[in-house]
Amino acid sequence: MMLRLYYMRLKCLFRNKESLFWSALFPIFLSFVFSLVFSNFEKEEQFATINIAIVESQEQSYIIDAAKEAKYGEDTAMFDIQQVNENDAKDLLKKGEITGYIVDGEKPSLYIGGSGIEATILKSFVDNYLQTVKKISIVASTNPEKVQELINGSMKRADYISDTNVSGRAPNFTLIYYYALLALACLYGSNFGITEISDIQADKSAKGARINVAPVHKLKLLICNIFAAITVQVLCVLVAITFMAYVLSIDFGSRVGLVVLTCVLASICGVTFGAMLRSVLKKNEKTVNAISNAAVLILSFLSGLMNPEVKYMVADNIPIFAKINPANLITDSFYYLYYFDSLDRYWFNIVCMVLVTLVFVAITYFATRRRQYASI
Amino acid sequence: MVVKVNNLVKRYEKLVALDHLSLEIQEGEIFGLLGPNGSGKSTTINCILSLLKYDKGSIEIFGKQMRPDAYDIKRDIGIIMQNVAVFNELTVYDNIYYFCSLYVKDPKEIRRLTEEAIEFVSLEDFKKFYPKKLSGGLLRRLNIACGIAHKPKLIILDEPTVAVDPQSRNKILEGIKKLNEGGATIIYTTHYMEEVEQLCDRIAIIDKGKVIASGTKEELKNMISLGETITLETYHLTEENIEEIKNIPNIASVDYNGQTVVVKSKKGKNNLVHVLNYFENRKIPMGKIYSELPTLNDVFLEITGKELRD
Repeated sequence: MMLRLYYMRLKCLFRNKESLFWSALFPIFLSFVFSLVFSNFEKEEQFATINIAIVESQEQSYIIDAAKEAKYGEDTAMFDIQQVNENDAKDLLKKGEITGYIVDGEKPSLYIGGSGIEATILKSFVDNYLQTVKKISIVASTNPEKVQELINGSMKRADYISDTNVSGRAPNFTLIYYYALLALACLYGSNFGITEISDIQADKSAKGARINVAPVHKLKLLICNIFAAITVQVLCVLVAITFMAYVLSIDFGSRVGLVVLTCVLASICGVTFGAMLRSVLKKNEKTVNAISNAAVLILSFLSGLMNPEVKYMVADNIPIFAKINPANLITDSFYYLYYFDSLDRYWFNIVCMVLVTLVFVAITYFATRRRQYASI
Repeated sequence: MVVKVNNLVKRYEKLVALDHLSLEIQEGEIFGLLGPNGSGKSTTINCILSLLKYDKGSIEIFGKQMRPDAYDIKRDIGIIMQNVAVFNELTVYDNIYYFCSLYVKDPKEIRRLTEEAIEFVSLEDFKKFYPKKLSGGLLRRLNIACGIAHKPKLIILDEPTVAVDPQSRNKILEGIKKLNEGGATIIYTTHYMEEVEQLCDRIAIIDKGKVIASGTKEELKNMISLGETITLETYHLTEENIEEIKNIPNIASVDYNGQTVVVKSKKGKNNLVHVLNYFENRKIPMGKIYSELPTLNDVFLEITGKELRD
C-alpha cells in the first residue's frame, strides 16, 4: 500500500510543472547564463601581449633589450615591439594600434594614449627600469665591485610566495557561484515540501480533508509523500548537476559519491524547509510558495550566489548564521569537497546540515501531527 | 442507527457554531441537512467525520464512538466535499484509483472498483482526461466517484451540486438515489430545498447551529399553520376587494402588485374554492391560476421569520 501511494505521489509531483521548473530548469538556465558571463571574465583575465613602439635615439639605453626580455610567466612576451621614428609612433598611438611608445635615450620617456590595464603595465615596466638604472648608478659610484652582482640580480625574477593546493586544483573563483546555485536548486525542493503538506492537511485543502477521512495513519502518508518529494527533488538536482558537469564542464572534483550524498541531504533539507513553512504559516499555498522562494533567494544571496564577498562578510560577522544557513552549508560542502584533501570540515558541515534538517522535521511533525482541527 | 449525534456544541471563540445539536440517522435512509449558508451544516459534517474538534457532546457511527483514529469506522465512510477534492496532476482514472487505494489493499480490487466508479458516474470517455480539461459538471462527477469508489456504507455529501448546471445536477441526484438503492445510507447537506424535497426521506432543518425542525417532508409541512398559496392573475382588484379577500375564512395574507394577487391560506379545506367563488361572485376577470402546497421554505420562514436563502 505504501509503495502504491508513493508511486502515485511521484506521478503527481512529476506533473507539477511549477516546482519542476524551480528545482531543475531554473538552475540549468541560470548555470548556462553564469557560464556565458564567466567565459567573458576569463578572457578578460588573461593578459595579452601589449603593442608598443620604441623610438631609437643616438644615446641608446638598455630599455629595448629589457622590453624584449619582459615576459608573463615563462613564455608569453609582455610586449610586441615596433622600432619606428617618433612621427610614426605618434601616428600609431593616434590610431590606437599601440598602447604607448618609449623614446629611448639617456633617460627614456614614455608616451601613452590613455588609461587602462595595458597602459598601467607599460608604465610600471618603465618605472621599474628607471629605478633599476638609478640603483645601479648609485652602487657604481659607491661600491663599484658590487655592480655586476647587482646587474645579475636585477635580471632575475623570483617568486617568493608559491601557490600550492593539496588537492592539486587551481583556485577558481567562479565555482562558488555554481555551488551557491546548486544550493539554491536543492532548497527549491521547498516547493515540493509545501505541496506535500498542503495535500495532507485538512485545514489546508479539500484534498487534505478527504485524505484525513480515509483509514490511513497520517504519519504513514506523510512519510510516503515526503519520500516522493525527496525522490523528485534529488532527480531534479542530479539533472542540474549533470548538465553543469557534462555540458558546461564545471569541475565538481573526483568525489562523486560524496557530491551525490550532499545533493541528497541538501534536497531533504530543502523539502523539509518547505514542509515546515507550510505547516506553520497560516496562509494559502501560493503565498507560502512566494514566501519560501523569497526566503531561499535571500539565504542563497547570503551564501554568495550574487557576490562571494557577501558570503565571507556573513562568515566573519555572523558566524553562527553561516552555520545554520542551509544554503551556506550546502555551498561550503561542495567547496570543501573540491578544495580540501581532508574531509573533516566537510563532515562537520554535513552534521550541521543534518541538524538544521532535523529542526525542520521536528517543527513540521509537531505542527502536523494533530488529527483534529479547531477550524477548517 | 448509523449515526447518532448527541448534544453537540462547537464554538469558534465567542461564536457558537453548533448549539446542542442532536441527530439520529437510520440505516438505509437519505437524510437531508437543510439550512442557509453559515447555519452549521458543514461544521456538523466535519465534526461527524472527526476532522473538527468539538467542545461538548458525542458522536457515534455504526454504534461506535467516532474518533480520528477509528479506522474501522472510517473504512465504511465516503465523503464528497463541497469543494472539488481531486489532484489536477492525475487523470480521472488515477484520481479515483488513488483515493480508492487509501481504503482497499488489493490492487486488483482497486482496479475493479475504480472501473465501477467510472461507470457509475458515466466518465468512461474521460478516463485519461486531467481534471482541468473537464467541465464543471464532469468535475463534480469525478469528485463523487473519488468519494464512493470503495463502496462505503455511509456516504456524506456536503453540497455536491453547488455551481452545477441543471442537467449535471439531475445526473448527480439520480446517482445518489442509485447509491441509496444499493444499500448506502446518505447524509445530504444543501441549501436547495428542491433537492431535499426530491431526494430525502427525512430532513433536519438547521439554523444558527440548532436543529429547528426535523422529520419527513410531510411531518415538517404539518408543523406549520400555513396551507396552500394561491396565485391569480388579475388587473382589476381594488383596496376594498383586497380587504374582503382577507376576510374570507382561513386566509392568512393577501399581496397584490397590480397584476397578480398572492393569497396565502391557513390549513383547512376548500380554501381555493372560497377564493375562486369570491372572484366569480364579484365578476372580477381572472387570468392564470396557480395553487401550491407549502414548501420547506415556508416551513423555514414560519419557524425563523426569514427566507431559507437570505
